[in-house]
Amino acid sequence: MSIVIDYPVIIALIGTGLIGITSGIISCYSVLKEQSLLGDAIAHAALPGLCIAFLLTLNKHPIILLAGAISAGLIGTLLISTIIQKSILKEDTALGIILSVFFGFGTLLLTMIQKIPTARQSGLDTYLFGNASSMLASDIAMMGILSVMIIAVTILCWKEFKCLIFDGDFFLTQGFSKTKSDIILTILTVVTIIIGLQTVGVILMSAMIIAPATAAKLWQKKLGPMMLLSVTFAIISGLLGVLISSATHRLPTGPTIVTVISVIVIFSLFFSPDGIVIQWVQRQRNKRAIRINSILINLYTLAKTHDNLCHPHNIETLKVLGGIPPLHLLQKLERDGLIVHHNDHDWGLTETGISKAIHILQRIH
Amino acid sequence: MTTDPTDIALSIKDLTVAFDKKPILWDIDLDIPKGALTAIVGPNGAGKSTLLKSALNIISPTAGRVDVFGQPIKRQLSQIAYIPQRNSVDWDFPTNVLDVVLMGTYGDLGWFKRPGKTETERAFSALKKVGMDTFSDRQISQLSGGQQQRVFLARALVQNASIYLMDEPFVGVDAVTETAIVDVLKQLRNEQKTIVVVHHDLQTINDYFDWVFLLNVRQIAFGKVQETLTEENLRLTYGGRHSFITQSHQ
Repeated sequence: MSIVIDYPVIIALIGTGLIGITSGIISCYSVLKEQSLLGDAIAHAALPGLCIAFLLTLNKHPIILLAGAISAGLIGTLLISTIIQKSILKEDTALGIILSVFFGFGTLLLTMIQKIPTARQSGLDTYLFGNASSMLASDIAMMGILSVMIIAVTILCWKEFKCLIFDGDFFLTQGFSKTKSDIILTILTVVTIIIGLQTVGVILMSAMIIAPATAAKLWQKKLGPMMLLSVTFAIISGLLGVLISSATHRLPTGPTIVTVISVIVIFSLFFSPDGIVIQWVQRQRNKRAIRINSILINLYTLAKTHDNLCHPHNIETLKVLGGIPPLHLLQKLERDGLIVHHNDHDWGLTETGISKAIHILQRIH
Repeated sequence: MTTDPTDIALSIKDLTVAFDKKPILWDIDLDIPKGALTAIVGPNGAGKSTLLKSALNIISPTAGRVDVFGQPIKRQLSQIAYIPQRNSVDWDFPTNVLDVVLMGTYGDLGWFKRPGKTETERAFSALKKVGMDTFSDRQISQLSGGQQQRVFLARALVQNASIYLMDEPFVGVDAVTETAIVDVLKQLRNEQKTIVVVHHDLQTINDYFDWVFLLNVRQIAFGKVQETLTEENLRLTYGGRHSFITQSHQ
């Protein structure tokens, strides 16, 4: 495997960079709206659109194909919301139906296209898993325009989108139209997904709408910084994905990009401030602090029955007060100058230890 | 009941809300007096929250009209501050206290304009009124239930509205917050504001409110608390749960 940065790779890098920016932005909204699966349905619904656009024009120019994909994606979204509103079916059922029906029909059309002799080389099948090297400079120009549009609308509607997602009912009472804002946001989502299809593919594009914000939300607690981080994650995985897949013969771009972003998500799940490892460490620290405090309190309780509060006790006595503390904790307290031991088994509080124990008790009560 | 139309802040006429064929609210007529604290009381599923939401057109009513100071509510939204139930939003949303309170200025700002220095000052003074000004940059997921409720109240205060519609503000909050909220509400009433609260606790109605609206899908009674909160009316509202009613009414 060797990395050669030639013209097609540079084009592919710029393209995935743009996809990184847009999907990083939109994934924040999708994840916070708890609608990440809508992205999955839209991406799959785009496939028959691609195929019909090709069959009608017999032209594989990306702009024509993407126009078909956008139409199909919007029709799919519209059908999903109609099913939810007009039938007794729930959202997950509606998503499942549209996703499988559209994708099934798309696969059927794709197989038919492969059987047309003149169309065999259309390369339409690359839309399944994505192929960044099929991108042309003209595709980049179109993606650039759409990305600028998405960024501009996001900046313009920053407070509107934030309020809509956080508290839609309140947004309405502020005199804004929930429907209008929802439509704008949905169009942005559809466009973002469609411009990613060529590179990431129909099957895995939803990962780019879910993963970047999922990882970013674990690190950042405000929407602005979270979005910047989400964009950064998406760009990194896009660029790395392209480099790895271009260095390895015939490796599709989509799965490579998605593998990289998955690594970022898994790392964040473990090591972010809200992550499993950090939370575990925090819990252990808390446990230790509680045990240390209880040793001091217990020794103080025992000593209170004597005139001298520093009166040492056999540590076995603590058995009745919730167990004998481990030696390393006793030694730590001794190092901190809070307790002293008189022979192997007798431990007592120091003056500092007494005031610390009193302090802890005051805080509890 | 007051009849002078200028004294009526919120007028609801023939309001009916139905999902499929099941009525949630049935033919409600209600004139809420200006400058008073009104409680909306009724059992679970009586349509209390729906009454607020349909009055605000968050839920489209099947029939009926709602006027605010004699004008259709659509043109009067800036007069109204809505405080939804605390658990209706995701408190894990990545934002801080100040940001949430600033949302109360969005209506004045309109589309695309961002809140600036004036709005931030307004937000801080609202936070001060509910005793939360030191929490302005606190992440909202770290707030207690009572603090969340006070942030919601601050968001409403920022709007400087004439009418406040609150959905169960005392559910799951500590005693300190309950007192703080009641103080703010009474202060608002002294400023001739109108406050409507969906309320659960029958025992505090006498202390907190001037008027009470008893509701169970259909309207049961409306009037001054002393005259309306009778055992007979409560039985009509809550059905046959006598012991509970007599107990809580004492």
